[in-house]
Amino acid sequence: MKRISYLFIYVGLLLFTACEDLIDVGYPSNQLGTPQAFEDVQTANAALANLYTQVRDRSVLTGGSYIGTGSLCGAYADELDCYYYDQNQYMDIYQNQQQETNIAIASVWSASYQQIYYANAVIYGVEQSTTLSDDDRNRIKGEALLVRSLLYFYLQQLFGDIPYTTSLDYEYNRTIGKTEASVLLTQLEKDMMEAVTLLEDDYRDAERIYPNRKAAQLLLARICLLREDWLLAEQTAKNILQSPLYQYEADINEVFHKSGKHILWQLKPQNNGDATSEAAFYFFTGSAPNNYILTANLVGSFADNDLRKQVWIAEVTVNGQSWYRPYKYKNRENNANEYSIVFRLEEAYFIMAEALARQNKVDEALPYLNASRERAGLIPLTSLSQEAFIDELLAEKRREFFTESGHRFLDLKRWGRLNELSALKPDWKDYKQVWPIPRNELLLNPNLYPQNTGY
Amino acid sequence: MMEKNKSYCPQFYRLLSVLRDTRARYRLLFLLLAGTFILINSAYTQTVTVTGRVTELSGNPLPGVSIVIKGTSSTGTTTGEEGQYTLPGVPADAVLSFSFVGFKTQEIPLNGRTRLNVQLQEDITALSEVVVNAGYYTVKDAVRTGSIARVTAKEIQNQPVSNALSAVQGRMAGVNITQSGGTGGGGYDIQIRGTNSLRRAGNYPMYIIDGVPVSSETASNSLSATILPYTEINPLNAINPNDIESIEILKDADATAIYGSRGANGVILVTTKKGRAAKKTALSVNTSYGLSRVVNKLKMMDTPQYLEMRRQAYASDGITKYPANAYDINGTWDENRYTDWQNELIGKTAINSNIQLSLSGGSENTNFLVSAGHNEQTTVFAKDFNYKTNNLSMNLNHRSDDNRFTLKASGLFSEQTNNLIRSDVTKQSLLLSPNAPVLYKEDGSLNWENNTFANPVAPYGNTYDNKNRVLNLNINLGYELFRSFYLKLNGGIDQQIFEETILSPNTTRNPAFGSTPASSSTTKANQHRFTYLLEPQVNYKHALNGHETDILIGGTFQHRQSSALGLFGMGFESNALITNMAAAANAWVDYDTETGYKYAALFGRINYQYKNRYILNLTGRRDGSSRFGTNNRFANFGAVGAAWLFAEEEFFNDIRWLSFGKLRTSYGLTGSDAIGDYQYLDTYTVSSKSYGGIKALYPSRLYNPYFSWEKTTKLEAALELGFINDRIRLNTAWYRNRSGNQLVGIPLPATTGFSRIQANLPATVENRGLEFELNTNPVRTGSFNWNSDFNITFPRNKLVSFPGLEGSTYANQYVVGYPTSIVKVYNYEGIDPETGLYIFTDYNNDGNISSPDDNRVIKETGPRYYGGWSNQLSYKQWEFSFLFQFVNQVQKNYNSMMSRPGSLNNQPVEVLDVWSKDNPGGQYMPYSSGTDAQKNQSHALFMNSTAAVGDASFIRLKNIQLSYRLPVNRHVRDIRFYAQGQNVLTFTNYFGLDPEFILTGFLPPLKTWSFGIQFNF
Repeated sequence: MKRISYLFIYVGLLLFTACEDLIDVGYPSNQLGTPQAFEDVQTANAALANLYTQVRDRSVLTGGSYIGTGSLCGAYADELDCYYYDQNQYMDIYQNQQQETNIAIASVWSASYQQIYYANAVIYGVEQSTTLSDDDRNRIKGEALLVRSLLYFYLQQLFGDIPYTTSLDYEYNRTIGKTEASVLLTQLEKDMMEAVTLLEDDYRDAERIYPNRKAAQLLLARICLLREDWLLAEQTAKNILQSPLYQYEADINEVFHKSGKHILWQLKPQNNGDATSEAAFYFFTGSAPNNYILTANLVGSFADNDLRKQVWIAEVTVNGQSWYRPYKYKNRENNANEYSIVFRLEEAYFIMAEALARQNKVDEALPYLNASRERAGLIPLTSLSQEAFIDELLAEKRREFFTESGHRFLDLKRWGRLNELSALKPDWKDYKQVWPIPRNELLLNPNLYPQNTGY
Repeated sequence: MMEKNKSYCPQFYRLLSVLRDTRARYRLLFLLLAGTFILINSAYTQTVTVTGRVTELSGNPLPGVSIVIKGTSSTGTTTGEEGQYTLPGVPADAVLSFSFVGFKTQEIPLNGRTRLNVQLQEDITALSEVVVNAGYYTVKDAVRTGSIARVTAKEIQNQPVSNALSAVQGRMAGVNITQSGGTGGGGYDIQIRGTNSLRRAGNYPMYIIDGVPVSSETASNSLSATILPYTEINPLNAINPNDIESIEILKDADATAIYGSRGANGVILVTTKKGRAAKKTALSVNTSYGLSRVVNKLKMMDTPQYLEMRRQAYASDGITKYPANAYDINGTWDENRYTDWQNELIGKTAINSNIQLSLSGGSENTNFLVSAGHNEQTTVFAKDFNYKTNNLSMNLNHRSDDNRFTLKASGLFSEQTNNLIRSDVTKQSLLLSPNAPVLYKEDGSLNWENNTFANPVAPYGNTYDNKNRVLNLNINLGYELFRSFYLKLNGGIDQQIFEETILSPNTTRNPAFGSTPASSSTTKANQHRFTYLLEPQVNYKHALNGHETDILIGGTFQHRQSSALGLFGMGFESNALITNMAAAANAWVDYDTETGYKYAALFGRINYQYKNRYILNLTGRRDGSSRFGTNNRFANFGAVGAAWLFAEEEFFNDIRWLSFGKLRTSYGLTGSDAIGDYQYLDTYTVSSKSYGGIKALYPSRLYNPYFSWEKTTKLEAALELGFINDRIRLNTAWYRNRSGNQLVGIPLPATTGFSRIQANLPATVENRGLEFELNTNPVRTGSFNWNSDFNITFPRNKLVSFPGLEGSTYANQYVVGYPTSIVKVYNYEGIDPETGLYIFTDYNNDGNISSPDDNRVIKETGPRYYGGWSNQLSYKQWEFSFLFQFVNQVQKNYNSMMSRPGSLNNQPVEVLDVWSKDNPGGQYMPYSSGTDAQKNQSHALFMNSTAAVGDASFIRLKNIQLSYRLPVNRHVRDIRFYAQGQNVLTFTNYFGLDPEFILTGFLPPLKTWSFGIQFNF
């Protein structure tokens, strides 16, 4: 019996004592511990690259995405007609009938906050790192700040008061309350000031696929317009215009080509030869539209000799019926010369024009507006009243930036003229200036109450 | 040493030597007597050589029957593989005794005959002698304390199914199996006493094949999502059902707690067939051929009805000019065409062919079985898609002469190749307009009807293929070290190589888009899993004065290494090169992972029996799993079970009709670690995406190292009764399982960056139920035998608690006090006679029907009761059996997936009953073209209303079979002819294609007829 007992004891001991080691598996080959990820600049850049892939592929800035503001805000305002057989979340937005359960709106919200988390994680990671050089740390933090602020900017414009967080702590973030719009904009301005100091003018990549200081300044100028700080907007825009890095693109055919000197920041598709998301998204031929087409109102706003109508818009005719689709990006296969542009110099011109006009310096502002017209083969405008100038500014910008990241919606909103949409959109109501906060978010975090008025 | 002992104890050794002598003397005496006896016998009685054949009543040969001459000590003989025997030297007036386990022993006087054919009758009372596999140990059915359901080869063999689970549907109480679809190589939804976890993957049972656990986590990633529901591929697809000897399903705590953390959802034990001792090696060739079709088709509108609906839709919306994309009625498509799209797309007859060879034999000590099988089945889709399996299995058993050493080895290899369409076209077959254009032009090319027709067969070129190779090896060694003290070692290997490919050539897309092979793409996913298992065990048995003790202590160590590689390639010079990733202009690695899972445990069982009447069974397990953070890696599980065989008590002796009576109960704790690997780590993961040539790294998850095991407590009480010599058996079981500590992602607002965090949710799910099994043997005459078995289960699932449910995203999915399988829907009241729109109850009176305030009606989907009734009848060489399966349930019906009546989609004929002023009793609101937002909204609500949930109960003639055995000659023992039907008849009121589904929109299970021949040599 003794021997048996020994055996029992032995087996028992073996299994009990060795258990800890027996079940240790270490890390999987495709994962890296969080602190290690920020130990060197390559992996820190990779964490930042994640943010760019997200922004490129499924964010409010993705030109050819179902949650991009290019299509959603385009259809919400007066740029796009939505073309689906059955009612869906996009049709609801197009018809201004969105409810708090709209899943496209919920995706805009959740994708943006996920990307904000990614940006915060990168910022936290480089701040904690003791091994990165100061240059690398500043650059990475600056880029992440810029992307985060841009996302907040859109969230604020779409939803009004929104939560603002720089924390990674889920216990804090799950109960966070809303920040009032004016406070948020002040914060964003502060964040962008910091990004401007952190970033350099020189591009990290000659193809301008990463934002530099000037890109940060452009966003800063945008925020200044919202904060009605006309002077700072003017100064910031002027700073960009005076930079030797940039040059106005005179050839209408070259505007959406990646090598232009007018580009401040563009997003490169994943692989060489891949189409931009915009090129594939709006494409249809030989049959009725798939998703969106340009509104007759927008197409009609172009003069027939406007080169933009000829070059940036394609007509599709089937059985005698014609539709128009955006055609700024053209290559659907073997794309060699197009990236998706986020910021281009033309916007700085329009910011300049707007800031000056707001200060009642219409004559000074005119050349900045005429630049677009002249390139489009139109006659430049001459002396206008402030009111007339503003109308022209809005119309011109609509023609220049149609389907680009919701410029039209943002402009109408900033000018307080969204209610003009009711002429075209029967269901437009004043409270629809902002979208509803997604219902699930309210349920999960009651501190987000109250729901936006009207919803 | 011995000398020394001798000197110490001389008397003892003297005694021993006397004894030795005595023993020798007795031996001598015995030999003399025996010799004399033989001499006398041979001198005075004539001996003969007796030959003959022993069969069952059905005529099936019975090998291994032991035959002895009554009243002698002669060793006799045993029957061979064909049941034949030869026994020389038998006195002409001797009485021969034929005995075989499970059969009644027969004693037959020779009366001078030299040829004696005997039919043995199955011993029905021996049912309790059946030995049941409980995993780590076996137990006699009579004295088991746990709840174990069992089916054997007899029930499942030769059925026209590629997975044995199809053959056991409806046969076991407490086990609800739903086949996920009619496409070969898919999954099954198996609920053993309900669903415990709130996660689907947390409800998979544990599968063990010949002692080696196989992973129930599906190998397929999202590549198969549009053809295999939930991308599930059942692990038992890898076994030829004809190789299976028995399937045991462990249900209660007593049976499952020894599997600790992995036993919560029940354990499915598969035992493969073994060889047996036979003088002649037996060869069996079995081949069958089957034809399958869809069980049911929906009756859809024909062209005139459909076109009338479409025209009314526009008319009711006040539209006179049909829009450009209303091709069906604006003159683009031929309005006189009619196609039955169900016929065209899912109407083919699938062919199912099967061949299996097996060879078995052996001696008393060693036996073997080798089997090879090939199965091929096509689909009902209108192209040559198919699913092929090749199986090879081996079994070897050895026992040493002194019976102390045993070895069991088994090996299973299977190769499954599945070639499928990437997306199921079942839904399209219902939606396509009946006047949609022809599929192919006259030259055989795809017809796009001038870009107006999304040709449904174009995606046939868009294929999903998988190849699944599984190798499962098991070696089980046993050695009796001391008397009744055994050492055992169970070891095994489970290897799986799984390859998936999706081909997406540009030709599957409308050519008007001008795409070239530059946009053709290929996706590949390869997975490799290797698991080894080591389980040393010691077992001690002790019996004294009616006290029996059986102690088992063992350990488990399991290590699984997995690697996965995903590739994507796009842009080919030509589609001829599309299968070769190297030919892609752009190819990249989506993911490349190597992961590990380790699991270690110590387990034990103490079984105590007194007088074979009072039984106590204690089981326990301490588990360690690499899936938890360092502080939560270990947990203890265990159970206590007890049984009382009350019919053995003296006071029951007078009750003759009660032949068996047992009360048993068990209580215990089991668990689950099925949450995937590494969820507790704070890491960044390599993304499939890159930016500017830099591969992205993304934060893997929100960091929580504190979550721990999911736990299920199980309580059961059961009464087992046998009447009239066990010709009627009635088993009744009541159970209550409670699962807490739910390992489900806790939903978080998006501001946290993630939608959930892995944590233990303090929600409790309860499953309780009643199970009845009635086994009867109403007729049992010499040549006619009839068994009839009935089982029924009344399950009840309830969410007992869920803190914080109201404020969570689960609020729309669950309600405390109701099953976890509810749907919350709007209350449909009828049609508004003013507007023609559907009316729903506006619970919050805000004038607006919306979620979550108005979809308040709770509908409990899932089974209310289910079961089966099976019958086996045999008459001489004929056997006939059938099984009815029944499920009483409520499910979402066709209204829940219906497109808006009036849209460019066909509808079931029921939709003809449309409301109008003239038809105020109409079921559906006026057809609508889709331009009226109010009507759209009304239809959307209708799809989520009480009208979209309905009775989905069904009774199905699940299996029917007839077989005839033809005895032939010495060389060919016999030939068996059989015909089988699967899912032959279905009785249901369900509005939809078929009431058996786990996800809508996929092809339902098929109806099959098959014919087969089995040659036994």
